[in-house]
Amino acid sequence: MFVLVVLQDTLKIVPSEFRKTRQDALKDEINAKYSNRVLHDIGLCMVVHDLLEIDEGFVQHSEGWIWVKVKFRVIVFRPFADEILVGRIRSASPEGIQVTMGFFDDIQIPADQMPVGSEFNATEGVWVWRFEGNELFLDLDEPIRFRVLDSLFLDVSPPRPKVGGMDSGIPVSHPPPYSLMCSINGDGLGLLSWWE
Amino acid sequence: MEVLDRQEALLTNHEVYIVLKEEEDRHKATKIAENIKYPENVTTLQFEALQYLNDSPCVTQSSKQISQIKELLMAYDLTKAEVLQIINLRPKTPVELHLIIEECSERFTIEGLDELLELILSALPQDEHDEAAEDDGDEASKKNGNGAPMDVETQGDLS
Repeated sequence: MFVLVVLQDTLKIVPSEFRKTRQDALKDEINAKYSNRVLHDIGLCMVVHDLLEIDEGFVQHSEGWIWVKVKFRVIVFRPFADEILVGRIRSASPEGIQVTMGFFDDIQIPADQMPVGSEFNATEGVWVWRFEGNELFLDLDEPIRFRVLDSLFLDVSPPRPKVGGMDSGIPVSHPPPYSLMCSINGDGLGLLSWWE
Repeated sequence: MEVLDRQEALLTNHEVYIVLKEEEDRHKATKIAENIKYPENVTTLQFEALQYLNDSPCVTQSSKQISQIKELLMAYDLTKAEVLQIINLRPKTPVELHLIIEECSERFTIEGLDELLELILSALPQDEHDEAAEDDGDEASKKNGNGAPMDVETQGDLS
């Protein structure tokens, strides 16, 4: 589920960081900039893996910090299609269930990818799989094994400011920049407890 | 910012775990030495990712085991992605192998799969409880020796 991506960027080291070694300062800058952030079409950046090339650095006229051009490798979360992963059920609705892996939440299993014979139980608020006379509940927070079908990258540029200015005060939910569409329809998929 | 290679390599969960653990140790050391605060995105990701990986089979693996099993799996005709998933998920049943290996029933016999499961069991030992207890035992004895304030902080991680 993790890949190594080679990036090149120019980062700045401010004077308060001069006490660190060049490597440490750059690693900290890279992590501050990329950790837990989604790069479009790349995935969720986790942490820097190593630095490949560092140039001498230059100080811009009238600035007090050093700009350093670095070539580095970063660990990115980007599962491939058909990969099998394990997560926990976060929430359920008639449209399907949402799964979380802790560090990554935007995993959807739509209703048509649930096991054949399952349906949403509105009173309990969870999905139920009716299999061979048994009622198997997909309770929240249960560990679940799923197959990745597709990943979706959305361009989330900041919205243009509205004319006349004021926020309505209601939080707007933005679509996630990176989400996975998955399935639990198949032998071995679904709650881990079903297959033990 | 330029992307030079979108996928230079695939990493096992274990490799990522090692990198995160080293960063965590480095952060702990600098926190004590200099009392600096790391940005929220860094600490959140580190905490959540380690929490996830701590619950996965990669915690009890070692680089030696991984290179060993890679060698052993070369005898089977498996793709890179299949080998990676075997290492990450550590399947114990034929059902799990059917999920990981494409067209499994065409490429392998039932005996072949049982053999593969045996291989996985021996190359990547599954007695997590024993191994974890051993690791905790070692760590606990080290930390008790030091008695430094950081013990209080780290206890929370050993859940």
